[in-house]
Amino acid sequence: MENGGSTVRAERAFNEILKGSNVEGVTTLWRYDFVAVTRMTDSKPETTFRTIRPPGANLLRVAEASTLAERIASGEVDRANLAAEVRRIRSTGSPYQAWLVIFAAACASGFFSQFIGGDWGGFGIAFTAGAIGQTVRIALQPRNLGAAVTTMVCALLSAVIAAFGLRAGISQVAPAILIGSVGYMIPGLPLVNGFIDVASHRNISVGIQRILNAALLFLILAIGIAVGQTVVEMK
Amino acid sequence: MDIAPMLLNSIWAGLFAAALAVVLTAPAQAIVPSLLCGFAARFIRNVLIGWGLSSSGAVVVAAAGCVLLAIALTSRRRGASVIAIVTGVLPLGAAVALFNSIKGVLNISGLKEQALITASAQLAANLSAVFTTTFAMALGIGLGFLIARFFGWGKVFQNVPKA
Repeated sequence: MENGGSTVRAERAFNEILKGSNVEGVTTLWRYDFVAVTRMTDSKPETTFRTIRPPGANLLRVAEASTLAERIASGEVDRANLAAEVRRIRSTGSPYQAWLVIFAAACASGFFSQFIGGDWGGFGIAFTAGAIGQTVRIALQPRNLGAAVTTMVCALLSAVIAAFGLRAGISQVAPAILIGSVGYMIPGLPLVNGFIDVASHRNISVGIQRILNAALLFLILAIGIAVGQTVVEMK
Repeated sequence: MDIAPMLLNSIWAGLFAAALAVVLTAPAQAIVPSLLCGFAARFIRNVLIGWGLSSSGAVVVAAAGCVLLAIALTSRRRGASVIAIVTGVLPLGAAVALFNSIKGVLNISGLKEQALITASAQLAANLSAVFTTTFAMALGIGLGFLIARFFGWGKVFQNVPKA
């Protein structure tokens, strides 16, 4: 969940690990910021709480964790090696180098502006705004400012760069370019994970929190776009 | 119905989905499914709107199609499934209506009389488009999961919620 997986997925992975470890009588309660696990020991309930840090995005770790859970369930992993495997997954970094992620963010911004009606001049503006915004985003992430602050800073920066591009007359399609310039930060992961959690019926509260978190990030992007629009319209 | 602009628009959407998958640190195996899901979702939406279906209806069908395609493409690679859905359905969002809503909210306080009435109606229409499109996306994803469970594809797809 800390790396962008849905609660349904985390719960299934946990259950597979329990199955592979032949552990029974365990009850779990999943929430947005913690998980509570209760196990009956000598007819007495024993509850453990584990905090869940604010969600980020490392889908490679999510995939690795799911694969590990499957291997444990099928008896392929020795319990003695479990801790080492978990440590390995935790230390797994991004599969892509920073320059590639910046290039991908720039492309995402440029392509987004194209399919909502932008032109080639606008592609260049959104591409540049996305590249600079993602560079700053990568620089800010280790400072642990929180997703909202990081998103706000990068959204403002990207939208203002796009606004100056529009003022320079490179393109005239303001909506597509301003929206495209922040397109690389669209919070699709919490939104769709929220939909999945709500649809599961078991994790409705977590799903609603995820959707609200996505709504907050959308609002921050909207503020960035609004500031960009104001810069475009300034006389 | 001119298919070429629809295809081009869908290709941009597919490329956006693939680029976003890289930004989200998806495994390399998820990039191509993301590209195909983004392309297919937008193409289905464009074609259905071209045939006269309402925008919301087209988004429901396109989102469901995206989920099913993601399942089909990633059945042997569970890790790639969610990211293909996430990036695939995003091009279906009402981005321009959202932008116009923000613009409307910012401008409306300074308007008077007939201009205010017209702007209020436009704002309501834009907000309605944002809400219905987002709801249609959620409904389409849910419908896709439901179809997957009905045909037993949930066994190979870890994120299909149990009813």
